[in-house]
Amino acid sequence: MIKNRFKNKNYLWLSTISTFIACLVSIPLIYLLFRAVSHEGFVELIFRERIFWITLKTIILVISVTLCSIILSFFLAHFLTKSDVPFKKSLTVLCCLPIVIPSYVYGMVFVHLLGPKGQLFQLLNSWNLINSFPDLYGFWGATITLTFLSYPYIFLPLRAAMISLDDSYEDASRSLGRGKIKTFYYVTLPLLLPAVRSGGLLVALYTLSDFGAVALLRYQTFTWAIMNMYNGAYNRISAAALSLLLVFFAVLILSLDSFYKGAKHFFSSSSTSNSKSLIQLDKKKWIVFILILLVPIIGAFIPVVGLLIWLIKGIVYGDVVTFNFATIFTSLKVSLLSAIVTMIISLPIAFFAVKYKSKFSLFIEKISYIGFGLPSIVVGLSLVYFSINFLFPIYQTTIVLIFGYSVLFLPVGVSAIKSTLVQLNPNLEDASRGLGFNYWKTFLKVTVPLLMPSILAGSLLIFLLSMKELPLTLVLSPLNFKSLPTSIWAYASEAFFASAALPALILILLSGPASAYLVLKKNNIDVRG
Amino acid sequence: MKKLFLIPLSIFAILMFACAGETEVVEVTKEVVVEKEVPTTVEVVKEVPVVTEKVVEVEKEVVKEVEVEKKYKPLVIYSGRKESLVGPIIQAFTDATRIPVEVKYGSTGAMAATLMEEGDKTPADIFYAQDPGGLGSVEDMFAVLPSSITDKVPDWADSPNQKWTGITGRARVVVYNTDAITDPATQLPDNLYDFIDPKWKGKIGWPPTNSSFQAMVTGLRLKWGEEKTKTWLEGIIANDVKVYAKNTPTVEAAGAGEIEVGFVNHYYLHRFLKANTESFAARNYFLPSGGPGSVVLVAGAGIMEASDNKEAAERFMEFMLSTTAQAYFANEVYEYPLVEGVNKSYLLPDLSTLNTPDIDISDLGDVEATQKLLQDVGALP
Repeated sequence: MIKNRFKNKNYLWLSTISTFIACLVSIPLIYLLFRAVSHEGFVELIFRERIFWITLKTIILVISVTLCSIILSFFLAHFLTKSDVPFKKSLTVLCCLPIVIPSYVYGMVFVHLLGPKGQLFQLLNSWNLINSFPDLYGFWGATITLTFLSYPYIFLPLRAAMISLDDSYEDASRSLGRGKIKTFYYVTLPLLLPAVRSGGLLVALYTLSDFGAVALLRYQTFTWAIMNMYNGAYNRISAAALSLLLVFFAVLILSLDSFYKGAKHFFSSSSTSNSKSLIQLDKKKWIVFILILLVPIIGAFIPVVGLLIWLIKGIVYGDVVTFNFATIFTSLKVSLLSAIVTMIISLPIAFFAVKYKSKFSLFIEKISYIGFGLPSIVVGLSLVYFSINFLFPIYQTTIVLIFGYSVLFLPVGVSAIKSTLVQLNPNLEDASRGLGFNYWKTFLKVTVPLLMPSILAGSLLIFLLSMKELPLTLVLSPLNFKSLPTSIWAYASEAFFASAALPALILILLSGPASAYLVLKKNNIDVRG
Repeated sequence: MKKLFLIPLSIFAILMFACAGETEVVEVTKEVVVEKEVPTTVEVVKEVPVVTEKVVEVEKEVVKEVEVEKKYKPLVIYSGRKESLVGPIIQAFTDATRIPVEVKYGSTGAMAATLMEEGDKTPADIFYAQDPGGLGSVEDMFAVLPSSITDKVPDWADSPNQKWTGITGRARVVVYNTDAITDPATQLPDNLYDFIDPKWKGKIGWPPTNSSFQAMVTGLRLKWGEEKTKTWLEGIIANDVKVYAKNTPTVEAAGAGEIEVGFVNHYYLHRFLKANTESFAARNYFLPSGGPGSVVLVAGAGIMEASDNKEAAERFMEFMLSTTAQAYFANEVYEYPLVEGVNKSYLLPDLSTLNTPDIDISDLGDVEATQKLLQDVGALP
């Protein structure tokens, strides 16, 4: 075939580039192996009863957060795409907002407002309405917090998938005699599965690596144990040994994901599918409306209100609220660069994994996920070691910091592109080539424009994540570097809450529009082409 | 209405997209020119290329050097103490000596780990840490300090081989909720050990991963011995102690009444008192019978052996032990000054009246055995 010649050449290119990127992003992994090997009591450290229990606690949290996020996302995506619930667009935008809230901020505010003796309890208690408040510390608090912070990773792709879902499949299934439930199970679910899986993977890895929320909500996970090794024991070797175990979990999650048969590929043949009929909710629509509204209230409204209370209280009590405006521009600058760079290096990996699906290409893709499942301080330190020893001239420059973000957030970019690429009808590219465009021209003129919405969505997500990333920023930042998250941290960890609230609010305010755009843009573009 | 609200948002977002697509799709950049409503953002766009940014940085440095008449190269400080605490006094150092300073802030643990990864290539001249454990962990990377510096602080407050010195003192205290405990002198035991009494079940909080806490446990081991310390730890755990992430949430929990007592450093309370005036329902209790439960820890600093800017580094150390800096820490941060002749804050009891045990601070840097013990009893994983 004519195509094969191109294919081979392109395969070589793509595989080389992808492998190179995979090598770069596995620096933390190599570093961990290297450090852990030098640990004398490695076996004694890992194979202890307590490590077993903390492992179990971590796994339970990962499973519950992922499941809750999937259920919540299904509920939201279903009603926000298929029903006539009022204010649909605004609700959709609101439902994406929690993704901009940093977990350490959420944890802090959550405890302050909703702790067993928090502000809400004190308010209700002062009116003699209640005299005790549920203790949300521990497992439930951690599950609630992490679910509400991370469900958008599933909700966004799931919603996109539901919008582009071709009703004709379901109609066909039902006309052939399958019931509603069977149709959902055999037809709808397989179509939505790629979106749920890619999002679910991110949620699971996020839960594995989060420190801020679990520590503040007093649920001890593996990452908590690792942070203790750095902050209490000053023992980076033991920290590395434990992190290596965390990598093992990440790999486990990733292979569980591959264990399921690769999603069947469905390509929509029709170019339009606007024949959708909305579910009429009638009287129930306000109930659904309120239920949906509760989600952004818990996920975004509560932290914002908590921050406002701190800020106002601080001003009223005459606290000196200090704020450095330059931090805004620093944050925007590094986050934008991070989004661009990460997205560019995501492209080859996603293409390689989809277009040349093989064990090797999938392996490369999985490698790109490792960083997301590691505590970011580990990624940061590995790059400190790497760059000071091998790339000294660029050590402590923005370049290394941006690269650090890329290592962390690469899977976000990869999964954003991949989920669309999988659905992309290959006939379109074939047609283009049939009309005389070569591979690269087809890529630029047909594939990329079709992928643009996902590239954009992925970039925005990476932008949002970079905006709020803290531990990596602290370790890899250039000297005198000040961004919004570092300001929040500088004040919050020393209990200057008013001064911490201002940069936190600005961070949320700046990230909000990006998340709104994430939703609105997707409405207008049909990702299937 | 809603749409109007969304327009500026999407403009903003489009601008950001314009940047995101800049390298690939040339047409998109046109949008930047059209949207004139948000000029500040457009500036951000201009700053994006890394190359120009670097040029800017270089220019800044040149300007700075001109200002100091090319006398000093910038002093690089890795600070495990937050900018909110030490930022003003570092600025005062630059103002007083004209030595420019470049600081990297992070948690003491992260900064110590960074230094260890960097090894002798470290750009840092000074490491300013929150506790003796942090300083001890990188001790072999420090240069020996001149006696003129270490002599300024009492003997217990620096390392015996003069590798680092304490700068300020911080006492271990019991923070208590004032609603639950109205008369601390009678309601609270006079030493730490008695908190294993079952009557404290469900009422105690601690931050076991915090390095000051671990330093205190090291103190317990030194003074009480392994067995007694172990019994104490197990007793506290049997009392369903609540585990907090750090000192700040522990103090906050005591103020809210989530716990009745917590084992913390003394100065966090004063920030809450400052922010909430006197309404914050917690106070510090300095254990009257002394013992290792009321050990005074230090925050301190050392000069890196690899530093090629030692003269400036020594001037920094001297400045931190000057009356100006010590008075700043006493009055603004509520820590104990370590230099003679500087008064502590009127809010604090006198260091000499504190019945502190005679523990050399550098002995508290040995965290390994403490970690092991905390792991054995289940306080740490």
